[in-house]
Amino acid sequence: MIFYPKEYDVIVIGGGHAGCEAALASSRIGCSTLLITMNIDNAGLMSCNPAIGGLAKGQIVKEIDALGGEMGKAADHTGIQFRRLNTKKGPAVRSSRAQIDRQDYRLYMKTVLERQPNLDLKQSMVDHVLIKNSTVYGIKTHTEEGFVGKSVVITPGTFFNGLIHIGLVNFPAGRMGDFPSIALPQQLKELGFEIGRFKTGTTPRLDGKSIDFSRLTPQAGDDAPIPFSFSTINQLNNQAVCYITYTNHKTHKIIQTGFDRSPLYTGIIEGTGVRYCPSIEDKIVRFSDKERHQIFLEPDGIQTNEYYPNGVATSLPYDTQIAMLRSIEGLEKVEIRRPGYAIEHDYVNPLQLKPTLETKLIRNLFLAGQINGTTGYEEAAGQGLIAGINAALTAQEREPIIIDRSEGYIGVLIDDLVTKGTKEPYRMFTSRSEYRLILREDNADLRLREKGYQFGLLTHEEYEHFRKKKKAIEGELARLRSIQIRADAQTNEALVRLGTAPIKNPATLEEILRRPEVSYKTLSVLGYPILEEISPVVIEQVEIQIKYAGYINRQEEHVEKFKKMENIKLPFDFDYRKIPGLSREVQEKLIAIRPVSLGQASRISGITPAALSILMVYVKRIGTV
Amino acid sequence: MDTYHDTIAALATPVGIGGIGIIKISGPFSRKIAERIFRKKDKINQLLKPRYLHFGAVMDPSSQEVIDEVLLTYMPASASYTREDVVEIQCHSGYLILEKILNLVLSHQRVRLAEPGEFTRRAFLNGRIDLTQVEAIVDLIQARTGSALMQAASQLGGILTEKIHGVKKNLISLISHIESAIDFPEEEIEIFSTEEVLGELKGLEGEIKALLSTYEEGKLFREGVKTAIIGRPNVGKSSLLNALLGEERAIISHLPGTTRDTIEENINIHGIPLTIIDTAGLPFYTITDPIEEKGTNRTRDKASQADLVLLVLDQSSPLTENDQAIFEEFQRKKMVIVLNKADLPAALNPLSVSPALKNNAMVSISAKYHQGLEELKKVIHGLIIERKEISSPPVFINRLHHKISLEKADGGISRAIKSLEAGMSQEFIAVDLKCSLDYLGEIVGETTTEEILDQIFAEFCIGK
Repeated sequence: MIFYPKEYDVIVIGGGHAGCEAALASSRIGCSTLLITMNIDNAGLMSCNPAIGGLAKGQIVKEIDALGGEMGKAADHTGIQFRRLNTKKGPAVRSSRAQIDRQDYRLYMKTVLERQPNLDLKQSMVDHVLIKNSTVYGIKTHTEEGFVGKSVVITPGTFFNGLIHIGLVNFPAGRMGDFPSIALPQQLKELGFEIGRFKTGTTPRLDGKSIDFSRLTPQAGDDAPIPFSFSTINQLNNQAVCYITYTNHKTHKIIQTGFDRSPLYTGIIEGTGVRYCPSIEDKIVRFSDKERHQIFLEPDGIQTNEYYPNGVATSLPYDTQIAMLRSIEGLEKVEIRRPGYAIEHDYVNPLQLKPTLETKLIRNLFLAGQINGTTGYEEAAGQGLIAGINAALTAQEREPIIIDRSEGYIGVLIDDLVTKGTKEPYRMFTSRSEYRLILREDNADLRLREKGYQFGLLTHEEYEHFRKKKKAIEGELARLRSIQIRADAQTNEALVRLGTAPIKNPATLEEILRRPEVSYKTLSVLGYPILEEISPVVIEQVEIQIKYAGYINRQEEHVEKFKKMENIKLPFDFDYRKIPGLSREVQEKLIAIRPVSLGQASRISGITPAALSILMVYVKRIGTV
Repeated sequence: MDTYHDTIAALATPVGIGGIGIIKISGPFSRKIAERIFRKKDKINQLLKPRYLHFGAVMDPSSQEVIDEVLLTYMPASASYTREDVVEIQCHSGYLILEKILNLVLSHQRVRLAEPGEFTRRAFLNGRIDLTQVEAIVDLIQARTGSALMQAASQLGGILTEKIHGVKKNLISLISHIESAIDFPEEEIEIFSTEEVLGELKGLEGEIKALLSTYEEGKLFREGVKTAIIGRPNVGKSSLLNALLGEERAIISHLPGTTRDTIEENINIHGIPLTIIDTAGLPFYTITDPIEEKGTNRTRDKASQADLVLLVLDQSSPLTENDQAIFEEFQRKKMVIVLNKADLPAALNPLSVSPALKNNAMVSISAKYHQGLEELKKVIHGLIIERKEISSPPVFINRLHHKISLEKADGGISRAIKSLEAGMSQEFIAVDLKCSLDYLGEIVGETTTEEILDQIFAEFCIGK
């Protein structure tokens, strides 16, 4: 083995959504970084549907952006249709979603990687991580080149022992058209990592000129799209339309004819599937009384006429796929360009990770993305960002960061993984967060911008922009709180005109704005000036913070209690066997997970309040001895 | 458990056993609470001198009702077990009294019910107990939790728990509907309208309120099973009372009509509290003495209100018309026939009495010589348990815990209804519903997010 003369601080293996964020974060922090991937041209490639965002996922993208990640900017640059979901509901559960030009996104990401100072791109397959004294110090490629790095981040996506299934045909592949990674997962297994198998699937890709769009319902983007990135200033444009169609009784009959050659129903696929993205065959089996299933035909890009039929992921045999699709309205003459397939891949039990995403077995080794048992681009990117930041901080011998459950969905995601593990591919939902009303898209910058800046992930301009916004919000909140209006006839007439009750006693503008009938803009009707120069995002924030103050404050009280428990730290090498009174079962759980705080310990299943009391007493003892 | 600055209170003695019960309060508000509810006998000097035993009464400040005469001690932080201000109230150990006082203490908004072992934990954390005693604390915490779990287990399977499970199930179903509408807006799933959610919420509210009212009705636990001893004069009713109490409470003589008024006493039979009412004998003759007439009227009142009557017959003399008349008057009541004076030659053949009378449980005793009492207690216990008057031994603290949890769960539902009526979006409703779910979980077990997701994916076809 020949060692490459340059030594890196951080080496990132894999150029998917996790790998890109990890490499960019590390190099932006100032670490010399190597991104090594099997095919540089496929860096940032979306393997499944050409879309980013959605419920809870949109929040994650905003959090990535607030921390100085790339995904939000990339989506804004390459999005071809933007929609906001749940606009009739409250601000906490409104989420952004965009259709993305697949090739454009990949190119954008490649360009950003190429231009990034401190970052080298190299194309190769990594076979081994180099380890001494349970600490990683570099990697070795399949062509016997060695690279030295202080920390290593592994982001293999579906490539670890990837096995593609189409009907009864199966073959090893990382993704359709890519080699699988075989040696590295083997090494991890030998190092003592618990490896499991998950399965995911994707849909056939369709030839647009064979689709009869005239019979389908179009779905357009929003009139005034809101960008993902807090740094995006340009007006976003919708350039594409999606179409909606449905399966029918005939489709379901055809699908059933393929069951005897389905890898899912003949027991060939062993991995656990994604419950939230079931294959079409799974849907008609589990919900046999449902007469039709919705399909969104999503454009793959502007330069291409390929379509992604979202809703019909399948591993049925090729002929069944064609017949099934052709039974669907608008697709009667459809041509399949690339068949749908299922892919099984290895993942590592995430309970073997610290909340920093460093492995407990090997120091300075970090894992991010699908290898940790998740599904989704956004979930992968969020982890990649945190793993990249922590790999860099570790290389610089600085304290790693943990985003906690009250700070972001990224925190919820990682905490769930490393505390509870996962028995199926993990996807984020807003219902997973106990502080949902606080973890909104609109305030992701207020939650995380400071942290991003602190680690050097933001430009000075980005940070200044944020500071100005924050100051404007605080100033306007203070102003509305300070202005009192009189309960005179003129005021009350105006209030009644707004459809709200008159006042008997003087009230502040804040109190008036709290009423559901009153918006910030209508305050001017009361004869009090609103600030003309104030930006819409500031107004939005002021309105949300005032109108939902009761609910928000209640959640913040919960957060305060939560933080107290999080701040009681438990040392990594804490000897739980020496604590009398803890049951063996509890001891074993604590030893397996090694929680970083009493708060994390409290979320481990089977840890009773009594066990927590005992722990608290012991922690206190350690503190006082 | 994160807050060591709030004030906690709990019962420090077991309930129902022993003559006095102690309620312990620890924390910065202890003294304020004592001053609010305690009135010293010494009307001039109401000052609570530390570390003195003060005699007085606990009084509900809102109704001015005196609840019990008590002894109260105030120990400032420097001299207390927990190193916090501690107040101990010693009172009579009846369910009703202890609970009323504890509820009164807990009605102060800065006080909450202590967790198992919390006084000891505070003592440790405040440096009152030496570090070497940690293990003892741990044992204590576990022992208390263990017994709490046993208590909980004894209530599990009970009707109450089953009902709470039912409410919880309905709540989870509603939450999963709301959550799926929030997280999957693009799916074709059935979405509850505001009216439907409101209907569900009102239903849940009704169920929880009904459960809470059963707690209020569960007076048997708190006041005891009202048990009247009845019979014609001079069959030994007061002797039976004394025998059951194990003390000479009622004056007895061989003269008929010695007991002129009713006497009430509390006893505990195998964990079940009984209020025994000794009554004046019901004579067959026409009463001319106005005092005696008042006495017999009272007897009739008490006996008709009782949950259980013990009809005492003198087995050393034949069954009289008087006995028969009393039996017939109260035969609809749950009854035990007590054949007293087993120490004398028998003159009454229990097999020859009327079939209606024979249908009741019969126990032969000698109140004078304390014979057959255990058998009588067994029969009484069996009768109460069998008739499902009480499904299991009462668990005072747990029940109070349940009540508090249910009230909080109810509060969550009420807030959700309010939010919904104010036009709030469903994620705001979900916050309060999850809060309610947590409180129900305190009684019947926690619900994880994963379980809600399971419900969603079992019920709806979701995902693309």
